[in-house]
Amino acid sequence: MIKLLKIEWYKLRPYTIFWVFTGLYSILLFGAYYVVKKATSSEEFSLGFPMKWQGLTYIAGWLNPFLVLLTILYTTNEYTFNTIRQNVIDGLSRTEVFISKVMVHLLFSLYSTILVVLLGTLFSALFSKSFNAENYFNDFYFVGIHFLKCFTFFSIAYMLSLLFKKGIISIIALVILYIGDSLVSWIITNPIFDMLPFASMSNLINNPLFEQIAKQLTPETPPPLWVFILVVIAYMILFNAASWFLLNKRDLKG
Amino acid sequence: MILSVKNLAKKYGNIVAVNDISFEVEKGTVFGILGPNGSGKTTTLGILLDVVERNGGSFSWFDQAADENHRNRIGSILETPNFYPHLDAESNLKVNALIKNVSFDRIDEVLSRVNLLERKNSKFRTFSLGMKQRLAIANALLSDPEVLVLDEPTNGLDPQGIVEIRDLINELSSKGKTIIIASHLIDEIEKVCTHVAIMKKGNLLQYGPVSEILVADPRIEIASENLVELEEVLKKQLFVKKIEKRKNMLIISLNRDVEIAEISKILQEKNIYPTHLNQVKKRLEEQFFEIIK
Repeated sequence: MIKLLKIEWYKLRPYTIFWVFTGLYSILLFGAYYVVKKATSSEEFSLGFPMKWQGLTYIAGWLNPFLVLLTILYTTNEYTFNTIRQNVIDGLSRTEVFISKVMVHLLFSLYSTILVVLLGTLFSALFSKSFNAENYFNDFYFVGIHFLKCFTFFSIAYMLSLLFKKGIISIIALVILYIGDSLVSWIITNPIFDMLPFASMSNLINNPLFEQIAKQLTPETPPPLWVFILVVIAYMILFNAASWFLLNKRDLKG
Repeated sequence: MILSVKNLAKKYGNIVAVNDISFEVEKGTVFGILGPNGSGKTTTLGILLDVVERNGGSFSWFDQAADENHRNRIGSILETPNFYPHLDAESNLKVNALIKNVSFDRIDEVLSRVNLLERKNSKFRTFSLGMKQRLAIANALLSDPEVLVLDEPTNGLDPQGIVEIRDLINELSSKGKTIIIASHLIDEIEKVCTHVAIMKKGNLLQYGPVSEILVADPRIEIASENLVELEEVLKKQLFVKKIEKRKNMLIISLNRDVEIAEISKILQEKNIYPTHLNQVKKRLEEQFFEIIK
């Protein structure tokens, strides 16, 4: 495991796009929190400070595509340069190849989660009048949900990268899936369609503002959060299993 | 046995890339796989290195069941040199050193072996084709493996580079390493290999020691005033295997080595006086084309 992580680190460290994307992601997340803080002065506002974790992770969710784009390029480059093939020729098993990228995705998810916690804590400590342990941990479970959401997003992108092997095609496929999935779940109100991959992921962390409004507008109660958590976990397992399958059952060639 | 292959098969749709081939490679041999482009050499090696899925058959390295650990004992080049373009030569080899659990100290050693030490901090994407190929060879040598699998190892190299690779292979072979080389260059195979397998369109046509496979029949060029009469006489000789007619001479393939003097004597007895009589050096290319015809 440590060996696989070391290998990935040696590949990533000199990779300019890696530093640009993670740097940009970090700056944009900071910027987003700052803008929202400026825009919302009222403390009653649930998106305002103390920004509850639901709000913080909801905003962070919009920036996930940055890191996802990076992992798609990172994985498909292994096909473009045939290095995935060389790694196996040199001695890695296909399962090791699979695990090494999964670990990268876990680390990226962890990075995003830690960044959200750090920035959230920083902003709350600086700007909130009601910064205390009770408020702090009130809906802290959204941090865990954010981690799950990130990793599942990476898992979908991973499967597409392995399926199409080309960066640009994988990205287009991801966008089409995302738009298609969102459109279907918006247009058709049947709750079954809320269980589509992206719909269920976005249902994990709702916009705290709209959630209040939606509650007043529609009398029906949406499925409870734990249902979406289970559905997303199922997708996460499914997409990773598909990735493993794609890596093991096909010729390794770009 | 270093490698044994049984009834290996691979199809791409309707195209048969590898058709039911079997062979064995013994320890310490330099085993050449010879065949024209598209004969299935690279596909075969790809299957043996677990990057291409086979449709049938089996193989085993080191007399053990297929398992990824075997590739740690094998240094390989398959098709083109595959490296990370944004990494320098040294970092690219570090990736392989980590995969193979080899000390980073080996890197300078193998880079200097292929004359790339001065470029170790240059990014791979700045390399010329020949340098890329040399880096691929350094990569294969990194773990000082028992077995080397080299697919077209002299691809993109200049004449000097080709000689260097040939020397390298001979040196490794003399140290008892087993080397498997795929090539479409008969010259390359003949100069370094002890054994050869000849492939065409996915089929293994022949395999065995080079001295048995790539041996052409001794041949003689012969001409006289009357070629028809000459041919009549030669046809009746037991040592003549085949007669090819050329514009103004005959080329006869012999079943055994026959002295020119002996032929000359036979012809004189029939009152034929050859105007041209010449022993032809063995031509491996022709022998090769004969096999793959």
